[in-house]
Amino acid sequence: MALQPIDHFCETLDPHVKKAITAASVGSTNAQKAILERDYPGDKTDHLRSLANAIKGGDLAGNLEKAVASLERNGITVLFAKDGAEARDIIYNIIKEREAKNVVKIKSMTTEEIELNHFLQEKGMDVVETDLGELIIQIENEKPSHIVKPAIHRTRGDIAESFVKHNIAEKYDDNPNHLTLAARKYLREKYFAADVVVSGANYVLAEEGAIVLCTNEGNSRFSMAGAKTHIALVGFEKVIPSAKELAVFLNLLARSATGQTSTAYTDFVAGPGKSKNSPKEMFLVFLDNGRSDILASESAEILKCIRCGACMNRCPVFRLVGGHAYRATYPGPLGIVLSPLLAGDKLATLADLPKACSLCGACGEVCPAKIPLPDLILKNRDKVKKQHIHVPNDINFWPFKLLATTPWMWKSAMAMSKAANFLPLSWIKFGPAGRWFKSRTIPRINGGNFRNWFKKNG
Amino acid sequence: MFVPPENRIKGKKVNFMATCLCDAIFDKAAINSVELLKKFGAEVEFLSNQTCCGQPAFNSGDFASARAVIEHTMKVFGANDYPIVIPSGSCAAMLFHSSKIAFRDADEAKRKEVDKFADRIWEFCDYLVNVLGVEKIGGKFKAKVAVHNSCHSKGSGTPEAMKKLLTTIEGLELVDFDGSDDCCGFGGTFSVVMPELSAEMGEAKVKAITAKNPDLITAADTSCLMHQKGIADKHGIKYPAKHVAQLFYEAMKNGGLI
Ligand code: SF4
Repeated sequence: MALQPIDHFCETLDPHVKKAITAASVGSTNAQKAILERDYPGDKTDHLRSLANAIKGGDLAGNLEKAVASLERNGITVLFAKDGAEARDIIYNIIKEREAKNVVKIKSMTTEEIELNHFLQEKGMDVVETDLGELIIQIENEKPSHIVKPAIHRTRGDIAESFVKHNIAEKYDDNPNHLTLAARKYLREKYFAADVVVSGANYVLAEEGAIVLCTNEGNSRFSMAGAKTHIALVGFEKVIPSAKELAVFLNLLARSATGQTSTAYTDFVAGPGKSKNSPKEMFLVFLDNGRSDILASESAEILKCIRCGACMNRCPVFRLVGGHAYRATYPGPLGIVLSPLLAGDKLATLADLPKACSLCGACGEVCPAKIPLPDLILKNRDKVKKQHIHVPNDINFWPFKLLATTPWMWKSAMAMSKAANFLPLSWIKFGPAGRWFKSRTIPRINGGNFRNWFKKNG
Repeated sequence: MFVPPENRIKGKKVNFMATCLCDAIFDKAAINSVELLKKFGAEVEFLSNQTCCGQPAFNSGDFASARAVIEHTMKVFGANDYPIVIPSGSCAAMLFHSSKIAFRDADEAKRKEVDKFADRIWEFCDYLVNVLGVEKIGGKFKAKVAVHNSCHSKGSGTPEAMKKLLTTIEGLELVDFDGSDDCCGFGGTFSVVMPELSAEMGEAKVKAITAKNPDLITAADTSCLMHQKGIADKHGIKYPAKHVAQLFYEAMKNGGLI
């Protein structure tokens, strides 16, 4: 039976991995719920979410212009990249001009989006992820399976093995504290050797001309203390008006992402050389990569995303497959909206993603930016259909349309449908019926009974 | 969350929209819904040219087919301007929320027509409590009952109305279960487009509910129940399920109220 790629992934995924993904996701959802109910009871959470939505819906072009001026005033060189290739070249050239080789990275989904690590490594650079989760997947040449917890699919045992294989630990030891210590020791040397630090940014403050980095491990500070040059790659939608508005987001982000009141570290970087150990120069590359088109489209609201991961934690599909099933940088409800949009004219390659949703609406309920995710998912389905892209298991609706718009046919179909009770329907092995009967039975068909009853008793 | 429009049309003269599933399979749910509506003072009309809300096509992304079906439905119910009561939270949400997405690119007159139509749509329990002002079902029904709130009804008055009415029935005990907020995986065509995911979600739901040994599972949607029961059957698990209108009716009958 032909399955959709994500459905196939679900069927064949190692049950232990599946269990780990489900448990971690459910745990995160529960933690988000508990802390928001505790700290913002009643309708206060919803009020904050509405504020976040409104702020992100403000004058983005105006804020961006203002941000550029403020950032430059603070000594940051601002550059623009229209797509991934341009961004990669810009970043590579900055590093090359400095004859630098050692790059440390602070977790950034935007750099994942442009596949920066591979590109720089192919050019002979030593690129090291300093976030523990990112390091775990980097050494195995994997992609993140979650935007906040990139190694959600890996078990302690796997990690311990992999650390030995890659000379991060001397011997197998799956004690989480020991694993962390081993990584810490390994990373220390990388910090000392670092020439360049590459980061993303959670927010760019237009008025103050600063970027904000929210992290939990202190790796951002170590990275910046060691490196001489800081390059931040940022989607332009990360710009918000000022530090005043930031309060709304900081209060929502960590609570929604990990159930913390705040991330352990919140770094404000307002230009190079501001303290003794900070990098001496700083570049900010604003990435478009399809964002302008999205901003001009009916799905612009997806650019309000603050990358908390709450939607995927809550998603019943994500909980059964994890991020790798989505074959794109951004998984889950966020991903099935954003990834096909970012794909631009390669939409066909990801056209099945919007189908990976039962339309339960739960993602929309937990999204701190109050993005109407289910509606955007539906709009993506419409878009795929309008472009006549074939998706496996697509159903042809012309018979339904004909029946449901032609009352006499509908009524006679209902009256005749009882005959189906005498057919061995469960023998059907193909098509939508086959897929239904594989795991389910159907009830007795009683077509026309209600209509007859109403005629007599209504 | 699918939230209904703010000022929907109220009134005791109503149309009943049976939905395709009740038309084809769950005749009792539809019959009991109509009987209860009448019992509580509504005047019920059934426009016989009605068919479906268009949701199967809409959820699959075939908005053109969905629009054709919604157009047909609006035409049929254009025979009067009464509220339309539907024994399904999901079909109601289709017509008070999703139809607007289906017609978002239409001309203004059409969009207004769709909006006005949305203002007439009520799910059955929501209508009983919030229009007819029913406070009590009463009667008797001695059973432990698990309530499945369908995803599409969550943004409306349905879950609260259903719970309120169920708690007025003597002998009826509501049982909680894990993951009661989670989707059961039916999702309309999702169940046949993503059969593995859908079945796995359904199995989790069936397991969570049967772990609490309820005597009956109820919902304001026959579709979710059909999927859950279909899965339970396949695993040889007993899964007594009934639409909430059937449960209300039986309770009243047991109490000699109907
Ligand atoms: S779409 Fe909403 S819930 Fe999902 S990651 Fe973005 S902000 Fe978080």
